[in-house]
Formats: sequence, structure tokens, C-alpha cells
Amino acid sequence: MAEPLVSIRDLTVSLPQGADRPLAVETVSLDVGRNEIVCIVGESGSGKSVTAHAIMGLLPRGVTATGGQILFGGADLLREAPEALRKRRGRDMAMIFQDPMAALNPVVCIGKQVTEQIRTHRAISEHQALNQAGELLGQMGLKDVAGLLKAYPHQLSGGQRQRVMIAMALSLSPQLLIADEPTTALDVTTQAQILKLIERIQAEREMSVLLITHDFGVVADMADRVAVMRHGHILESGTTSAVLGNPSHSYTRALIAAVPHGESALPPSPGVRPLVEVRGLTKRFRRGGLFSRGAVTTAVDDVSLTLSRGETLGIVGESGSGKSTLARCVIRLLDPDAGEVLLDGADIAHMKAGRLRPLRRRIQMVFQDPFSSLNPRQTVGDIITAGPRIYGEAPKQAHSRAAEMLELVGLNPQVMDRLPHEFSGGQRQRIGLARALMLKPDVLIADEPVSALDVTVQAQVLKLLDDVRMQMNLAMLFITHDMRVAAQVCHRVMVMRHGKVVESGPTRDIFAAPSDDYTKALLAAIPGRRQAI
Amino acid sequence: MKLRYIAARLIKTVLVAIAVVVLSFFLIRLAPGDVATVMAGQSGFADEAFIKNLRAEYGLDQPLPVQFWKYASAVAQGDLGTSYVRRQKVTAIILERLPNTLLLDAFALVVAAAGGIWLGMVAARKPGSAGDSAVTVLSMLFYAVPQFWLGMMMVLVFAVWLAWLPPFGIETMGAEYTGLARLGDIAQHIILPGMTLALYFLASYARLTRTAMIEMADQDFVKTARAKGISERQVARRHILRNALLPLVTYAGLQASILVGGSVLVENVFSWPGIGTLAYEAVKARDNPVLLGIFIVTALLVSLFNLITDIAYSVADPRVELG
Repeated sequence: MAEPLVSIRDLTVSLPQGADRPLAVETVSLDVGRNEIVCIVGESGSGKSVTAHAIMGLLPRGVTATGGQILFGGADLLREAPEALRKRRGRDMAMIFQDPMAALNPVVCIGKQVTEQIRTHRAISEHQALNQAGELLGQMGLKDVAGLLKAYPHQLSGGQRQRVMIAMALSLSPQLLIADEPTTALDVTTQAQILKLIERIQAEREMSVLLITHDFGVVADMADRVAVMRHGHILESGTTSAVLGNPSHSYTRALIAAVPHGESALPPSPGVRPLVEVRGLTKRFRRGGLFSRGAVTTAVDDVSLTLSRGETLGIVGESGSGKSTLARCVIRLLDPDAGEVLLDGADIAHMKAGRLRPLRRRIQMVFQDPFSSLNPRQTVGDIITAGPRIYGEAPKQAHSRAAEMLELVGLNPQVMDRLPHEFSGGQRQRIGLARALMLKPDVLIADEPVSALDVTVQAQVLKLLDDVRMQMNLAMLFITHDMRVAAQVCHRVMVMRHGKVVESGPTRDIFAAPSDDYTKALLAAIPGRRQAI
Repeated sequence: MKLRYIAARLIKTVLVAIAVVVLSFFLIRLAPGDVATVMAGQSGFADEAFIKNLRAEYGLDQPLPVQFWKYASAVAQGDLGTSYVRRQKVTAIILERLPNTLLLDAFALVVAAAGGIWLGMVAARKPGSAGDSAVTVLSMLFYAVPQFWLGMMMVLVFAVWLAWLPPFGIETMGAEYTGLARLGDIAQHIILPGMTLALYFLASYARLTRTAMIEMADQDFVKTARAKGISERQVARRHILRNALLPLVTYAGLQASILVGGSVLVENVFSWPGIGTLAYEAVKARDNPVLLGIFIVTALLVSLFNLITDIAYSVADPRVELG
């Protein structure tokens, strides 16, 4: 094998004192050859990002590489002078990040941000640089380049922003492109496009790509070679087909198994009398003030659905499809403009607050972000007993039920005196679920309950939700952007786009034979479908 | 869209002005005593007839609603009335004093913003360092010191002990400087009151800049900037500072609004012939037309500054649209 472009030898990176462990990365060795895509796959805290940042010399303050070498074309980056390393950044190696909204300066126009990079390394005029920038954006498949150069990041879609980031990274034809979870913040169909773009550019330019991901589907589609990381170590590495086809480490096997496969196991539920019936629900949002006419967006447009006890209905759609607004209308956090929401035949969409209050406990919700949905200053016990206490349950009884409930969701009842920040994401989501279940609801709305979680944790929480649904005979409305997740837990799915339902039916049928073009596109965009894992 | 918005704001400004006229007219009269009793007291031979005559002269003997109607209709025509004490048009008096206050404000604003932002940048460069602590201590000091005391100490140290700067007024009395010499003279006079006003705000700017810069330094786009290979100086200037300055635009607008009514304390300590001293004199003399005029002009200027702040903010931050 020819000499690799990047050769990491026994890299050790230490964390500042007070962190949960002393070393972020311990004696990691990894090669990235010329003209190949290498994936580092792992969950949060595995050290995959730290390794990538160490190559760029961009470790956060207090995090330092304390041992080993990072050879780049033979030169050790860890021993290079800061100024020399700075000149390499952007010129020899470039990096793109997870969230393209946050990664672009919000108050500087796109053109300026791209030319800044070019002119840092090359002595050319702003005009020449701007021409180059326009050309690059065109190569990234972006349209109306002249307008884009003058636009600001917030005026672009997520996919456009990530294309701009890639254009910027490629502007000086670096030998190495590091992509740190480049598609995690994007919609599925956009994700597929961006991954294809990276693949195409890599092949055209014969460059090296180091791709950091948590998704084995992405690995299967993209990587020539893969390294699996956990707790700062590389557990195994090799060609993608070898690692995927014959994983030697049990953790790798667990990771692969945890990837939802996009095949539905659940049969459609038997048709019983529906508990929830939504008819012609419409929600519009207006912008504007005292003296200005507002613009109106129809977030949910004439949507109808039914939901029975013991059944899970998946609502699938990309950002802006109206799926979360729909959920918020069903639970009456928002007042719909038209339509009915019947709970056991009573229309709660237009009910007065006083009459609605006793019914509220029957519909509960689990939110997406387990970090912001729990009050950081209340103990777990206070959080999960607050609901029952409001409905008049004696504190003592609520407390003993809370203990049972924590056990049900797989937590030790003794955690009740602790604060939310002491828990991991998956544990917090369990707390959020326990909080919802304490009110003995009939309907549970889960709004992207696993999208902020690592894959293995995701699998556990999905299983828990399904178990709870069966045990308590819940009607569950499951909101997700991820077709694979929907396939795993939903009896029926409803695909939404621009506020409208484009297709609905039993999960099995829709996955086997989608009739709508958009549904087909969503299914085709699932990573890992090209190569079975 | 923009013009429409600005027109709507100007209409709101007029509404504010009407509210100010009504409220202050009646509130001022809640205070006991009027200009007639004050003048009678000063003249030393206060008999009932004298006071009655004065009241009749100023129209104070008429019922309150009639007084208000007369005043309001005059204001609607742009006439703020005549000062009881100076017997001059209120508009003329305010227009004579307003430039002095605006000059002092502008000086304080520029010094506070420039000095504060610079100190904040120094502090944010290495949070927790000796330089950072020094800036924090200094800011606390400037926050905590009462302005009138600070003003007197300024006079004591720089005018009396060191004799570097003139302590009072806006220019040297009787010197009759013209042209550049006059400008230089005013510049010397503005330093002490200007610094006294500026230091409190300077401390705020320093704290705000420091916090905003530390927060911005953690943002992803700063990481992107470093990944581009830009030097640390440019990262700090073009990316961190540029974003950290956004909240300061709002604060500068707030400061301008606070100052435009004239600082009664500071202007009086330094005998600065601005709106603040005028207001103080008018209160003492119960010169209500002058006081009301100051209220109205100040309210209009505050509305105007708020509008300018909002427009400036929408220019500085492309994400924010007017409306």
C-alpha cells in the first residue's frame, strides 16, 4: 500500500480536570490513504470528533494532545509551529461541521465568507475571489449563484448551507476533507443529496475524506474503510465490507443491530372504535402587527386521522411538514383554526379551558429534546409528581406511584432526589416518559422522542415505548422524520409534506409499495439501503 | 415595507407625545405651590393681591380644564408657551440648551462605547486572567461610585489640585474665543463632565462586550473561521467581535435615551448649560411651561432614538427585519 496521507500513531488526548474521564482519546492509530473515504463511527463521547479536531489542530481550550503523532504527508502536525499549522488549515486540509446553520457567520454574506477563505491563503483581488466562489457554488449544484453570494445564511435552506460549507472547504483544493457528522442536522432527502455530493467530489478530485458519523447506514453507503470507536479507543477497523459483513467486536455487532432496518415487523392493528378522531384540522400562522398586513402560512392543511387504543400511528415528514404543529393542535397546546379533535367523541379542539382541564391528563406528550424539556432546578421526584399533585393526588401516594413508574421505565426509584443534569440523554427521556405516564393517559404523543439520542440508546427507548404502549393499552401518536424508526414502532404511518397528508396506510404496505413520489423519495433516501447491513 | 414601518412608528411617536402632554400637565399640578407663591416669596412682600395679580397674569386663576385646553391647542400648533420666569419663548430656550446637552451626550457615548468595548475585548481574550480580573474590578468601581461624588472628585483632582482642566461651564467666560480656539476651549471644558457621565456606561459596555465575546467564541462559526486558517486576530475581529457588538447596539440606543433628557446631577455639578440644568432651574422656580416643554421634547427625542436604534439593529443584523 502506498504511504497514507494521514497517519495517526498512538494519539492520546487529555481532557481538562473535572471532566468525566481523564483521556478523551487513548493511543489511537488510524490511517487515511490518498483517494479514499474513511469513516470513524461511534456514539457520543466515543472520541471520534476529538480525533478529527486533533488533526485540524482545533481542539477546544483545555483539551490537549499529550502523546503520539499525527503525520500529514510525513510531517508531524502535533509538533508543527502554530503559524505553520494555521496556514495548512483550509489549504491542505479542510473541515465541515454538523450544523450548517451554526457553522456560518450569521451576519456576514455568503460571498464574503467564501472569499475570506480564498484570500487568506492566496494573494488575489476580492473580485477574482468572488468569481472563484461563484464557480465553486455552481459546482456544488447550487442555483442562482449571483443571488446566493449576496445572501445571508438564514436565507438559505439547511442543504444549501451545507453545500456552501463544502464549497468553502474545497475552495483551495485541500488534500484532506474532514466531515464531522455533516448530515445529522439535515432532513433525510437532503442528507442523501449531500452524501452523494461528497462522494462525487471525492471521486472527481481524488482527495481523501475522513467522515465522522454515528450512522452505520452512512458507513455502508460511503466508506472504503471504517474504524469503530468507543470510550476513546478504536475497537476495530478494516474495510467496510469486512467490518459490516463480519464484525469481530461485540460492540460493533450491537451498533449494527441497533440501526433500525426500515422493515416493519408490526401488523396493522385490528380496527376497533377509534379513541381519537381528527377531522379536517387546519392551523394557520400569521405574521404582522398593528399597521402591517401579515403573511399567512398554513402549517396544517385539512388533516384527518383516527387512532385506536393499543395502536401506534406514525406521522412522518421532514422539517416544515407540519407534523409537530399537528401534534400540538391534538393536545391543544395550539388552537386550530378549523376542524375537530374528538377524544371519545367530545370535541376538544374548541372546548373552553375550564371544561378541557380535566381532560388534559388523558393526552400526554414526550418531547424531542431531553435536555431542555425537564426543568433543571427541580428534582426528578418533583418533576414527575407535579402532574398528579395538581390533579389533587396526595403527595405521599404520588410519591409511591412515582417510584413504581421509575421502575417501569427502567430507572432506579432512588434517583428521585436528583436533578436532571445528572442523567444521560436516554435516562432523561425515560424520566420524561415517566412524567407523562404518571397521569395515566389514554393517548401518548411522542414528538421525535429518539432523534436526539445515540443509536443504541435509541433502540432501548423505542423498545420501552412499545412495551409501555402494550402494557397500558395506550393510543400512541409517534412523530418522526426517520422512516427507519417509524417502521420499527408504528402500525400505521401517515406521510406529511407542506402541511398535507400525501399518503397513509399500514406501515407494511407503505414500505413495500409506496404510491406517492415523495414517499418513494423518502424511502430511497434512507442511508444503508444500497448495501444491506 | 420599510417606509411603511417608519411611518407607523412616527404615528406612534405622536401618540406618545400626546400622552406625555396630558399626563405631565396634570401631574405637575399635583405638586403644592405654583410660580406665584415662589415669586412672592422671593420678592419679600407677599400680599394676597400681588399673588392674585400674578396668577391672573399667567392664567392660573382659570379652571384646570380651560388651562389645559389652551395649553394643548397651543402645543398642537407648535407653540410650547412662554417661560414665567424668563419671559422668553420656551421653544427658544430649549433650542438654545439642547445642543449643549447633545454635545455632552455624544462625547459620553463615544468615550463609553470605545473605551468599554476595548476593555471588554481585553478581558475576553483570556477569561480568568489578571487582565480580566482588573477589568472586572474597574467596572464594579465605575458602577458603584455615585455620579455626583465622582463629579466632585473629578473637579477636586483635575481642576483644583492638578489644575489641568477647567471645572465649570462650557467655555471660558469673557474670553470670546472664535473658530478653532473656541473649539479647543469647549473641548477642555467637556472632558470632566463627559468622563463623569461616561464612566458608568463604560463599565456596562465593558461587561456586555466581555460576556458577548466569550459567548460568541464558543459558537460553531468561530470554529469554521479557525478551520479556514484565518489568524486569531482576524477571527476575533471579523467573527467574534462583529457578532458580539449586536447587543451593544441596543444598549447604545438605551444610553442615548437615558442621556437625552440631560443629566440633572452631572450638568449641575459642572454648571453645564444644558437641558439638565434648565430642568433643575425650572423645578425650583415652578416654571411649568419650561418643564413641560422639556418633557415633550425629551419624549419625542427618546422615540426618535428608539426608532434609529431599531433601524441600526436591522442593518447590523441581517436576520432582523423591521416590522
